[in-house]
Amino acid sequence: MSAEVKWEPPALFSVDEDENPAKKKRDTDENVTPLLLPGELLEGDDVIEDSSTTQQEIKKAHEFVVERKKREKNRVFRWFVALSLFFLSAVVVQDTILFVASQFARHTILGWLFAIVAGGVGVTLLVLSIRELRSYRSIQKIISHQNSGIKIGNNNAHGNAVSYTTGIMRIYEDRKELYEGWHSFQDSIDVNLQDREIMDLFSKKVLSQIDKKAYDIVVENSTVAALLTALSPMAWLDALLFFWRNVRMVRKIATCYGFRPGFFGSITLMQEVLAGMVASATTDFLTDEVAESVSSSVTAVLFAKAGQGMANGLLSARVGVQAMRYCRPVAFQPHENPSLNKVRAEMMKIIKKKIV
Amino acid sequence: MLPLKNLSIASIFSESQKAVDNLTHLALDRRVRLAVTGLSRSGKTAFITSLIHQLLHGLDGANLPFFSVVAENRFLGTKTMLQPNMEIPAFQYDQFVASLTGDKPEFPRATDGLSEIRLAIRFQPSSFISRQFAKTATLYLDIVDYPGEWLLDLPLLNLSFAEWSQQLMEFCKQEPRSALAAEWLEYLNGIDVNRSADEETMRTASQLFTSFLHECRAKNTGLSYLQPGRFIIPGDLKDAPILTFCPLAAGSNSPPKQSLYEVMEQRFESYKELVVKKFYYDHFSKFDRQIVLVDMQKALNHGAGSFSDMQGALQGILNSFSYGSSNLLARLFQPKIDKLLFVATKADHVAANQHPNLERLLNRMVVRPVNEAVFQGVEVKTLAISSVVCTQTVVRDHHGRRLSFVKGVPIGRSDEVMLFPGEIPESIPSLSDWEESRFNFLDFQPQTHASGGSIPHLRMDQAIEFLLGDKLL
Repeated sequence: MSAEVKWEPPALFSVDEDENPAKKKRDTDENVTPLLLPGELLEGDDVIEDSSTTQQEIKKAHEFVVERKKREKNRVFRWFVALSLFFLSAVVVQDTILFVASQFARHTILGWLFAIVAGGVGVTLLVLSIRELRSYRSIQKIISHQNSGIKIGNNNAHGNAVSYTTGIMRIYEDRKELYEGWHSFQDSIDVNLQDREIMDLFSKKVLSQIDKKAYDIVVENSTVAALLTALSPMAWLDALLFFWRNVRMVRKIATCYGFRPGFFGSITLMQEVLAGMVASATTDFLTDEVAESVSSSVTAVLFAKAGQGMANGLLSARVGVQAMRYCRPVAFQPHENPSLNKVRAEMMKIIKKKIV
Repeated sequence: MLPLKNLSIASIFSESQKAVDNLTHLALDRRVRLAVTGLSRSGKTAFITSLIHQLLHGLDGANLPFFSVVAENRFLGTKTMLQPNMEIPAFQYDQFVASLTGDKPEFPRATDGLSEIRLAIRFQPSSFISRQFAKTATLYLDIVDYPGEWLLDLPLLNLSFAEWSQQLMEFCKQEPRSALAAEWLEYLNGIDVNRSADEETMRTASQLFTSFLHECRAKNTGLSYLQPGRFIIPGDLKDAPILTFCPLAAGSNSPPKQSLYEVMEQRFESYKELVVKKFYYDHFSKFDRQIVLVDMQKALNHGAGSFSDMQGALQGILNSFSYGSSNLLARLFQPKIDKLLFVATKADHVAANQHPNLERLLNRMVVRPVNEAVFQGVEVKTLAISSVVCTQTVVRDHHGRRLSFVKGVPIGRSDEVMLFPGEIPESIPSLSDWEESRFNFLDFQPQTHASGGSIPHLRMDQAIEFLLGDKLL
């Protein structure tokens, strides 16, 4: 190394035209930087949009590959779900036939009454579920927003988050309850912050209010599902109740966030719901069998039913938490993830209140 | 502690009360002793001033969205308290903040002595158990400011006079030290270290050595590892005989009694015992949390030698602190630093899109102390911050490319400029990068603000949250 450290002044772009050394060079050199005028107002965080064709193509290709891999993986699981559904349907049909037959054995009128009521309840639940599915389909898909949000929030880039969050807020512009959080968010952001920090702030200031509402929906629906399935006497009714309540809950959560998951997110959620239906019907059988074999006392049956209800409530809560993850426009940070333990504790509080 | 002759019943009672209060705060885990560590001109005083300012203005104007106690509306205010040690001067917060927010803002002058401050941060606890005891709680934060040069004395505690002398002589074989130490080394070559010590020779050698240290600091060499620190900033030891020594090459394996070498060695050991150890045990052995400030732009500007010099200095300093995961009992009797924050200061002097690179480069620079701290169970984090934001980042089109600039008033100029600062490397640059003069970062002046406004900062709230957030639950 040389004895004296040399460094030369860096390239300066003076806002005062007369003092700008580049000004003199500009007369002879066409490559000199254009001058900035004193007092020129600069825009806040300019978004550096990616207009490169190559980058867009790579992005699309990546999404296509990801979706194709997911499709192949889901094929096996869909077979499993289809078979499970067939099994469930067969069990439900058998259970229903046996139940109605047992009522017919007591009295013809009783048999027809239960057959009509059971059929009516089943048809009503199906109609309600179909309605929920229809209104769910009408909600805007989140997939592109969420993918962009994940990419922006997970890297150390700068300059993209403000326009992204502004775009999300435009979708929420009719929600006056979010305005205070939005203004607080705008006051807090600093143009020097990285994208993931701005997304973190947006999550804390704006989305946390929607999270709270979604969380309340999950707790309420899980509690109701727990109580209804505990009281329901038949496995097929358990399954249908579970299906209806959870589709309704997912639709409410999607409405709350203003987005619903894309194709694969929806498939995953439906798989969770269907798996929950199977588990719900199965636990109903098992509960009855275990209660009968251990003791046929009322207390034993009640406790068994309460346990079954709680299990169904937790399955429902699991669906709700997954729905929150899929519907949220900005992915949860690890410390923000909704907790099933917390949902369980809230459910217990509500159930205790109702019992007392 | 008060001298024996000044003891009275009232003073004994007052000292006892203070000790009981300290113990109570420690037992309730409501006291944090923060070590603000950094080499000379790394921004310690500006950081402490900004930290105090943001906490004092937490309820009116300070932008602290990542400080959870403020974001959750549990923050009830901060005030300065009587400091715990009456013999140490108070940190001149009012003076420093006035210099930053006046009509002609400027950074505080270089610290030339010890000072201390205590803050009381009042808040509403969020944890269920704490809420059962009281609706409000108070956290006491003790901060000590000192010249960064004094930190470099801490590695001396692990060196003998012979080892230290040998180390320094090795350093002086390379530039830029070699040229600056010529006069001092020439004087040493002309004296016999085995002959009887005389005061005049020792004084002359010491003065030449001190001049060499001052030149290393003053001549913009970018050197950081300058020991002993008290020779540069003597503080209350100015002209004291204890500073009359310098490194010597050993003349023989067992120097004669009362020889120049032996007397210099005794003075070195006295310096370690009476100055460095006392400084360490009084102020550095009881820290709970530590923040290490590093001026990365300065290290890059001055070349490979400066960079590795700073790296060596930081490594030596950090070896002197006691790290390890801590519990309530340990904090009472043998406190250890359980959270360590590395901070690249003056982040606003580079474009915002370079901040992740600043953090990565700092991580590479301090990889060894970080690994050792993590091994001891310490929670470590790295941030690029600015205690006082002096610039704006601006993205502009430049001949078809979008480039990031910083706009501000450089120190030494009166007009605002827009600077293309260039890129911060993600890893330690190669020699060729420095030879190409890739790095030319400038220092900027603080900006004028509306009267009563808070000092603009960058990520101070994230730093405070990491250092204190878990104590404010």
